[in-house]
Amino acid sequence: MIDDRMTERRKSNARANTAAWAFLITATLVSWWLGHAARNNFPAQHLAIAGVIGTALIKVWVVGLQFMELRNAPPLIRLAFAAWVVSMMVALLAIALA
Amino acid sequence: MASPGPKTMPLTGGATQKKAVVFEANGGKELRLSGETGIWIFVVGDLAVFTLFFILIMLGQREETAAFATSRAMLNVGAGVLNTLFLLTGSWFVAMGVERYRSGHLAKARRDLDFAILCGLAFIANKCSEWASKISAGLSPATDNFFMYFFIITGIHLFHVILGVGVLLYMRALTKHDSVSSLDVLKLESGGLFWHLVDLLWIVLFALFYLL
Amino acid sequence: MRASDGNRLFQTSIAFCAWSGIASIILFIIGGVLLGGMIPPLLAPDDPPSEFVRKVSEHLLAIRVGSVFLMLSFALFGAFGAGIAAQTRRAETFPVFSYVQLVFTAAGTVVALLVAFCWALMVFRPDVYHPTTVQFLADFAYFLAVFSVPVFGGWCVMIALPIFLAESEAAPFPRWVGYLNLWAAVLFAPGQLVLFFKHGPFSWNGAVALWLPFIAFFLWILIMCIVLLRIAKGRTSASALN
Repeated sequence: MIDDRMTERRKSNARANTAAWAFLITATLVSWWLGHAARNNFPAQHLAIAGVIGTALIKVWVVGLQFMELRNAPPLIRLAFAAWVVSMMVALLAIALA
Repeated sequence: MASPGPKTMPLTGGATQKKAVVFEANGGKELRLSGETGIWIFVVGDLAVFTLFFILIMLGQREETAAFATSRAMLNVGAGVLNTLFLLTGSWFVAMGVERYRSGHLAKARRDLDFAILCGLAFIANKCSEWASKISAGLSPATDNFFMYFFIITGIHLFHVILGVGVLLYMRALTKHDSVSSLDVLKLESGGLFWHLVDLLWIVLFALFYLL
Repeated sequence: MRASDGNRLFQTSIAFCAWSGIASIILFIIGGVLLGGMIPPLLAPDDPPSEFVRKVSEHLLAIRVGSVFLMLSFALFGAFGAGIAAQTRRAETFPVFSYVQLVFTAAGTVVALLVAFCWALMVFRPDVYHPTTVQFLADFAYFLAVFSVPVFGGWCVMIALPIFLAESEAAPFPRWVGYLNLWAAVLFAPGQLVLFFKHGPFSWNGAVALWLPFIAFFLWILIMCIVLLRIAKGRTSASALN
């Protein structure tokens, strides 16, 4: 019983790893395109910069939650990580755009 | 005090046992931090340092926007994207390997780690060729502030990648042992966490150096 | 009975070593931060030599008194390092790592003492010395402090290794202390950049090459001292340390 549950859990974690990897690759390609847009004086250049920084930190968050297994961590630690990601995003955006 | 042995004054040690008990009890939903406690000191410490680096790069970008844009245009974005893909894929292999190690599939875990090591080596090779082409084009840390940050901070990151490949080799060696202790699992998870940290830091560096 | 007397002596001497470390932090704060102008840095590597002379002449007495405190602070590194080595020695049947640690401790102490020598000589007679000599002594002091990465980093690695390699029952410190030491070693590393830059964050007055290694170093001493004090109190069980 317990063994079955653990096997099931491991399988679902493996699927989540693959989903996270696919998302990260897609996000990398999207942010590549956004960076292109930022450089080619895209009408909304600020938006593109915000997109690049935002995508990077969402990727960071996914790596932390899934690969570093913080999604299984105690809530306080999860919260601390989310707080670091958000404050990083705010700080970098503030320096870039303000 | 001839030789104060463990009997008269116990040395520290049971730490891992306590965590192991938690681990064994963790069959279902119990919340748990992956890896050894100590690796998180390293992770948080390194995040703090790179936070400083990220802010320094961004402040430089703000002060010399035009100069940074000119220098940035000289970078090869393709090389950066390729390296990001290497690290992300390496991270995926490491995550899968840790999962397989935990479920006792040591040979499969070893194969995952082999691929992860290849990803790490590919990153190092690509980084070196990128640097070589920049240096032969006459660019160096002395060129301007952008290239100073670029070479030094990606250099410090490269140093992490090289350490990380060493860690992966150590993890690979663990998969060759006949038995898996709960401390072995924690060691493998800790090594994996270091590799993911290296990946995580690169994600931000990639955005700040190549994409803005 | 004999064993427990031995333990008491061991605990007292470990406490002595831990307090030596804490005293060296306090003395450094007095000598290097409040009086000596070492950090935050009074001087800058891209200043002309005459500017070095002007700045140190303005703070002559403070830097002189600060140098005395610096000397006292750095001399205590030996006791601090020996305390750690004594603890790792207990877990090693053949105390090779502990001996290597002592070599690094001794080398690190000498390097640190030379920092204080340079700092003191810089303010001995800056009006008589050629201005570039004053500049050189400041350069030399910072190079000794942060360019000496392998000495201090090696010391940390030699503390981490016996912790990681010990059987978990016999580990001299909790394993997180091993990770802490590796992290400290990594943080000292950017100090070597000072050779390549004369301004910016990687020069000897910069955030990365000066502040990072200095903060990491004294934080490392502080945490190691707290761990040593816990060992001195006999609270060596894992639950107390984790």
